[in-house]
Amino acid sequence: MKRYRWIGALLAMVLAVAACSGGGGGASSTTSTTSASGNEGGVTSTTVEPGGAEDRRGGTMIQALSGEPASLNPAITTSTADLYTGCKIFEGLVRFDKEYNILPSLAESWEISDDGLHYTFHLRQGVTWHDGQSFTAEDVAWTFENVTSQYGPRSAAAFTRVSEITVVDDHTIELTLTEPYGSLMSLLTCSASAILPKHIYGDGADILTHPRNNDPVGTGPFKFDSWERGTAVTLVRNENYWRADEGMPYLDRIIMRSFDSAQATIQALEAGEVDVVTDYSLDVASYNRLKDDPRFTGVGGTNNPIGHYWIFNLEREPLNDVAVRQALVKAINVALVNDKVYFGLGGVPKSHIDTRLGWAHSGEVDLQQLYPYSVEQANAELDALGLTRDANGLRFTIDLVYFIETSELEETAQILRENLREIGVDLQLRPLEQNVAQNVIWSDEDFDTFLIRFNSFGDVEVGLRRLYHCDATGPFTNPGHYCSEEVDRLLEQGAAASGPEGRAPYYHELEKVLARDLPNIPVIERPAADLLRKGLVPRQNSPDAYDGWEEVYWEQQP
Amino acid sequence: MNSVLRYSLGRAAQSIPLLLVVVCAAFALVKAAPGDPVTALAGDFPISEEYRLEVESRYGLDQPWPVQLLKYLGSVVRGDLGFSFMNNEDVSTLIWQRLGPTVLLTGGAMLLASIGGVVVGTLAARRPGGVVDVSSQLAAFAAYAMPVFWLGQLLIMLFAIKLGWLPAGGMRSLRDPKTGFEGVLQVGKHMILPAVVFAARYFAITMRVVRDGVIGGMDSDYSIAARARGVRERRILVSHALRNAMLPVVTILSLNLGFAMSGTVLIETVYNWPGLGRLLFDAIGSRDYPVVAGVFIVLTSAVVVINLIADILYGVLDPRVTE
Repeated sequence: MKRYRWIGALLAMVLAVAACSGGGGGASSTTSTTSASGNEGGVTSTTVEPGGAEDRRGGTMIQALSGEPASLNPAITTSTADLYTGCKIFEGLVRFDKEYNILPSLAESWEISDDGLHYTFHLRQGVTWHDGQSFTAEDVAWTFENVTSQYGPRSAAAFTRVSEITVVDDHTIELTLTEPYGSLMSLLTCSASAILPKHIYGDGADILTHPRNNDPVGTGPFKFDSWERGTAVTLVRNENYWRADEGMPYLDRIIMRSFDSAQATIQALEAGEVDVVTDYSLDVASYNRLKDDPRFTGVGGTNNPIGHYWIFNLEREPLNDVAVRQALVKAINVALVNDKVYFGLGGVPKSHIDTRLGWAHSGEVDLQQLYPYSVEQANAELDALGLTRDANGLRFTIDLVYFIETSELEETAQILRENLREIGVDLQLRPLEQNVAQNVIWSDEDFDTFLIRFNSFGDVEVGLRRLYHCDATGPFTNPGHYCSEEVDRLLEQGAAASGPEGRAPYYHELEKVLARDLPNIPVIERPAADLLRKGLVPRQNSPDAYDGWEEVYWEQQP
Repeated sequence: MNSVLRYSLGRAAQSIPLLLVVVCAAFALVKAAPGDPVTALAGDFPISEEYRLEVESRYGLDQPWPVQLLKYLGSVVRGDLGFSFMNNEDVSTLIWQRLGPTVLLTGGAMLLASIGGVVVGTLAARRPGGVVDVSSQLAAFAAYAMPVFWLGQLLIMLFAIKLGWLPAGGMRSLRDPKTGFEGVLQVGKHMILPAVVFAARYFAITMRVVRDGVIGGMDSDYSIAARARGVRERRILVSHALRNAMLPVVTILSLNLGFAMSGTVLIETVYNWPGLGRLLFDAIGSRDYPVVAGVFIVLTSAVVVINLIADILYGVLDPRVTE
C-alpha cells in the first residue's frame, strides 16, 4: 500500500509541472488589445510621446540574433546576424523611409544628371570615425573601388555599370555610369554598401579576413565594445554621432546576443533576458501568441516586403504548359494559407510585385480575381487539357522542395498538398536542410516545384529581377528557367528609367505579363514583425531591418 | 607506481593513431554531407559565379579533398587547427574560448550526477522495496527516459518564465554582469537548470548501479562476517558495501563523461550555453570544416584522457589492478 501512495504523489508532481507549461505566458490570455489588421502583422501603432531628448537617453537593449555573426563588417555579406550588428556600427550613404523614399545618411544631398549617368554626392561634414579620424570622400571612393564593387554581394553587379569614381573635394564625390541604372540609390544603404574607413582597411590586408572585421571602426550610432564568442557582441553609444544634437543614439548600450534555437530565443524574451526579437528570429506563431501580451509590444513592417513563392520548373512536363499552371493556381487556397499558417497577419498576394512595394505595384492586377479559388474549375480545365485521372484518381505527380528549418514553409506545403489532392495531383513533399536545398534548387536543378521566400529588398530590380530575367542563368537566379522577351524588355527599361515615377509604368506592365504567364505563384505576403519588451519604443520610419536603431529608446526602463 | 606511469604513457601513445582516424573520419563525414560552405557564407542573397570562385580559391576549397585533408593533417600535427572562414578567427582561439563553459557545465553535471547517484543509491539500498527505494527508482526511470530538450524546456517554462526564480539561459546576466564572488554566484545560478537536466540521465544510471552494488554487498560474505563481529549496520553499509560498489561507479563515470561530451550539443542549444556543443552545432550547419574537425579532435582527446584517468584511478582504488 505504502509503495503505491508514493507513486501517486510522484505522478501528481509530474502532472503539476506539465500543467504549468501549458499556458506559456500567464497573463496573455486575459487581455486583448485592438490592433490594426492587415498586412503589417497587427501593427500596434506607437506614437512618439512629447518629451525632451534627454528623457530618452540611457539604458541597455538586448537584441536576439539568430546564430553568431561571421564578422562585424556589413560590406561583405548578406548574413542577417552580421548586418543587424554591423549596421549599428557602420552606415551607408543613404537609407529608406517607410515609403521607400531615399533619405540622407552619410550623404547629405545628391544630384543625378538628366541622362542618369552622373551622380554627385555631397557628404555630411564633421562626421568622424569611431577612432577620431575624419570621414571624407576618400573613404567612400576607396570603399566603392576596393570593397563594394568586388565583394558587395548585392551591389557588386550594379557597380559594373560605374565607370568612374571621382573625388571632387573632401566632401563631394561623383560616380559616372556607363548606362542609366534606376536602382543605384537603393543599393547604397548600409546593408548593401556600407562605407568602410580607408585608414584602417587600406593597409593592404585581405578584406574578407581583415582582423579589424572583428574589432571594427565605423561612423554609426554605436561603437564596438567587446565580443564574447557564443554569447554576445556589446556596442556602446557613439557620443560623436552626427545626430548627437538630437540626443541620438538614445541607448547607452546594445547587446547583440546570439541564439541557435528559436525556442530558446522566445523563452529568453519571456524570461526578460532579451528585449527585442526581430523578424528573422521570430516565428509567426510566437509573434501571434505574444503580440498582445501586456509584457510586450508587437511592431509590424520591420523588414522589407518578403513573399513566399511557389516556383515551377518550366523545363519539366506538364508544368511547362501555361494552361496547366493557370489551372493549378485555381486549386490553391492562398486565403487559407494566410489564415491557418499566418493567423491572418500576412497579406493575400495580388500580384507578383508585393502590394507593400507601393511605388512599383499598380493595384490593377489581382490574381485572386483573375484566378478565383475553384476546385471545380481547376478540375474541368485539367480534364480539358487531356490530363485525365488514372485508376487511383491521380492525374500526375510533382515534388515540392522547401527548407526544413522554416515551420511556416512546412505548414504551407501541407496545405498545398491537400489542395492539389482535390484535383488529382499528388504533391510529394521534399523537406531539406537549407544548405542542401540550396544545392538541389540552384545547382542541381533537381526539382519540379519549390517553395521559397524572396526578399524584394524594396526594389523590383534588386530583389525580384533574378527570378524572371532570361539572362539570369547564374547561380541563385531564375531556377525555373522562365524566359520571356517581353519581361526582359520591361525589366531592362524599368532599371534604366530614373525615379520611382519613371520606373513604375514598366513594372505595372510586368505585373500583367507575370500574372498571365505564372512562372510562379505568390503564396503569401509574409508579415514582417518584431517583438519588443514593453517600455521600449521602436524605430519609427524604417522598413529596412538594419537601419534606424539610434531612434530606439526606453520610455520606461525595466 | 612506475608501472602505472609506463602503462599510462603506452595508452597515450596508442591513442594518437586513434585520433588520426577520428580526424579523417570526421573530415570525410562532413565532406560527404551535401551542401557547401560558400552558400552558407553568402547568406540569403545570390552571389555571382566570380565571387564564388574567388572565395573558394581563397580558402582552398577548389582543391581536391585529399589535398585538403593532407594539408589539414599536416597543420594539426604542427598544432595549428586552421582558420575558420565562417568566424574569421583561428579555430584554436575559437575552441579555447568555448572550452571553459563546456568543461564547467559537464563537470558540474557529472559531479552532481555522481554524488547524487551515490547518496540516493546508498539510501535506497538500506531498505530495498521501501519508500526511498521505490520513489527513487521511479524518479530514475523518469529521468532516464525523458528527452533532454523536452525536460529542459519544461523546467525553463516553470522556473524561468512562470516563477522567475532562475534564468532561462546563458552563463551570466548580460544586463547586469557581476565580477568576483558575486560573479561566481551568478554563473552558479545560471548553471542550476542546465546542470540538473544534464545530470538527470547520468544520475539515474549511477544511482541504479550503486543501489544494486550496495544491496549485493550487504548480503555478501564480508558483510555477514562483519555483522558476526558486531560491526554496526551503518558502518557495514558505508565502509564495506559502498566501498566495494564504488569500483563500477568509476567506470560508469568515465563512460558517462564520454557520452556527456557529445550530449553538450543539445543541452547547450536549449540553454544557450556558450560552449563547444553550440560551436559544433553552428559549424555543422554552416559546413565550417576546420571547426567541426577541431571540435571533434578536442572532444575525442577529452574522452581518451578521461578513460586514461579512470584506468589510473581504478588502480588506486583496487590494488589488485596495479600488480
